[in-house]
Amino acid sequence: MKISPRPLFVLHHDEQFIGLIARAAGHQYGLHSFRTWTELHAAISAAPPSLLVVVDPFSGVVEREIAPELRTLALDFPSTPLIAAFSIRQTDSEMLLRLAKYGVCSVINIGHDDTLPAVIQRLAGALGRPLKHLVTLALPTNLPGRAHAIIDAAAETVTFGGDARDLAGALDMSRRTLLRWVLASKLPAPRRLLAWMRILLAANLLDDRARGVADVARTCGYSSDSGLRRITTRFTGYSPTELRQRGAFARASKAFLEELALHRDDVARDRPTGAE
Amino acid sequence: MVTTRSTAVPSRSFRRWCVPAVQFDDSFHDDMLEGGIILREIPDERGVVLWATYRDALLWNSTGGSRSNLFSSAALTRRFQQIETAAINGNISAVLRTLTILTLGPPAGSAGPVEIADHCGRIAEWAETAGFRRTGVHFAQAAAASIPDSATAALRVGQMATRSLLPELASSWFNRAVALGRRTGDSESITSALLELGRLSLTRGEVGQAESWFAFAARVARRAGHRTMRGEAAQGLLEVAAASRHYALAFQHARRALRLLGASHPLRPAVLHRLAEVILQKAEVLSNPDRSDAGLRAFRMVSSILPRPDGVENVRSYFVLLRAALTAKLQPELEVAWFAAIAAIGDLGETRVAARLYMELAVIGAEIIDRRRADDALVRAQLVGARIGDTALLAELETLQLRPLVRTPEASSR
Repeated sequence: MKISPRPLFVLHHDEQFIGLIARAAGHQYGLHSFRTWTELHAAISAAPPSLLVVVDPFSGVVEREIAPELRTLALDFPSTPLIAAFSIRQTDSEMLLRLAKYGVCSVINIGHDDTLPAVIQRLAGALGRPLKHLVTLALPTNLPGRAHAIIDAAAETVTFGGDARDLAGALDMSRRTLLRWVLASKLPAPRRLLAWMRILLAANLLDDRARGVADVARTCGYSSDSGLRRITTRFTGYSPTELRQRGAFARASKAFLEELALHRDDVARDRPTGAE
Repeated sequence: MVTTRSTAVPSRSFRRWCVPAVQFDDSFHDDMLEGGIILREIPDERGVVLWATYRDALLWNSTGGSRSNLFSSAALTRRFQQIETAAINGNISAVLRTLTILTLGPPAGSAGPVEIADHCGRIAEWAETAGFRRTGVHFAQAAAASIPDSATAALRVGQMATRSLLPELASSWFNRAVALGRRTGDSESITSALLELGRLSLTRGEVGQAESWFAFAARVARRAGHRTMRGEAAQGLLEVAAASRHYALAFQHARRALRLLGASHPLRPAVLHRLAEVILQKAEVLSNPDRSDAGLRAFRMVSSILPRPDGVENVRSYFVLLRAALTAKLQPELEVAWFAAIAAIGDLGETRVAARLYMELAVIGAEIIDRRRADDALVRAQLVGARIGDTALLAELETLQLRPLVRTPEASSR
């Protein structure tokens, strides 16, 4: 499966800051700068899931108030990681909480951590957060911590099109160790787990109101929507359109949890004394 | 003829343990903003300063090599001004200032990770004490991220997560502490983490798993010569045996725990309490004279640990005392224990826990004393439940009042 390079969209009035982002993007991201919220909105709908968006939350607003377009953006594309870049004041507690509510997952504090190494870290930290957030919410509470950590890493891995090798690398272990840990945590094998994460990623994008099914298929690396249909039907029993009608992420995560429970029962039957 | 071995016995090679990744509590259950829970727990200027400090510490940790250009030149002065105006408690304000100098100050990066971890740990402790538990967990995680090879730091995160009722997070950090402890030879942290894992399994009702953890902890503690920790493991195994109703095994573990813990260990009362419960459970199947003896033994055992410092544990011990007095047929002591139990619940104030304990007392009262006493406890439970607005409890009490409470033959014969 081929995933396009990570695009980085920026909407900011400060040219110097855009220059900094361009340097931080380097060869890893393809930088695209936008002047208006409308342009940004249109561009996001066709962008791949590894997209990152950096915005000035006050762009286009006279007062120091969060632009209403940011809220629309967050509602239309909840799967897109948004980073707000502005100068944080001490009295901004309420504003930060509102940004968090709108789906902003990271903040670059201008005048504080607007340096090259800091921005590189902030961009890396924001990648895959929306999917990780949703997966964490969907997981059962009795799942062992180790299993949580592996699923977290798998969610992050699929957002940049990684495979089992990348997952092992993200967890700082060899592929053999990963396999042992996955078995000990009563999870499906790494390849199957990553396939599920891709389904969840696609389902998450399907829930974005402004994206078409063909767009989702393309942004997830499928050549056509039939590829996506085949995989969602095999894993969840529904086509992308049916999934969207029933609440794609909720339905797909339910199917994932059912498989997880089935797998845990199977493992428990085979190895009744298995450690966590 | 002297023979020599042609091949030397290979020296025991060190196994390279893989340290498990941990689930990082990053407010994910609430929203996506990193550390957002700090802002929600402390929604004022102090919260912004703490949130920013937490992010700085994480950024400092995640950036290896030279950190000289990590923050802008004005960052330090601005943060100092924020700390000044945020009206943060005196002691912690000093810690914050030092941490700010360590992370943002010139030349940035000269500070050692141990110092950063130490200061993050102090903020974590302060936050937990001040009631900002998740903030505490976040800073404890930042401390552990500063010194990723420290089993003690991982253990502290796990303990703090346990107290913040985040058991999955806690278990992942305890697992990490075990692996790190093996790598660094920190047997004390390994044993503590194993004990904590056992306790977590017990609270989840996974008795078999808990037994494995406690047995493992006991083995490690024995090899490393940690006497009291062996005692703690024995106490855990006592809990497991009592839960599985393996009485002989429970007595064996209790004896071992009491011997190893010594006279002044804070866990000793818990062992005696559990042992008394086991004695009473076992006495149910005994003939009458033996049953009285067992009751007397349990009564003396529990009397020796009362009053206990923890309010809820204190009440629970009075409940055991009531049952012991009944089994031993000590009528005056039974009366005294009843009123002492009422007073002990009263000390907990008008809380949800107190209301639940009154309800439990009502059931015990109906079983072992009389319906009048049970009704008295039920009324108290209702009063507290109504005052705190615990509708679930009130509904439960309704059904309890409709149901005739069962009386034991002992209670009927009095």
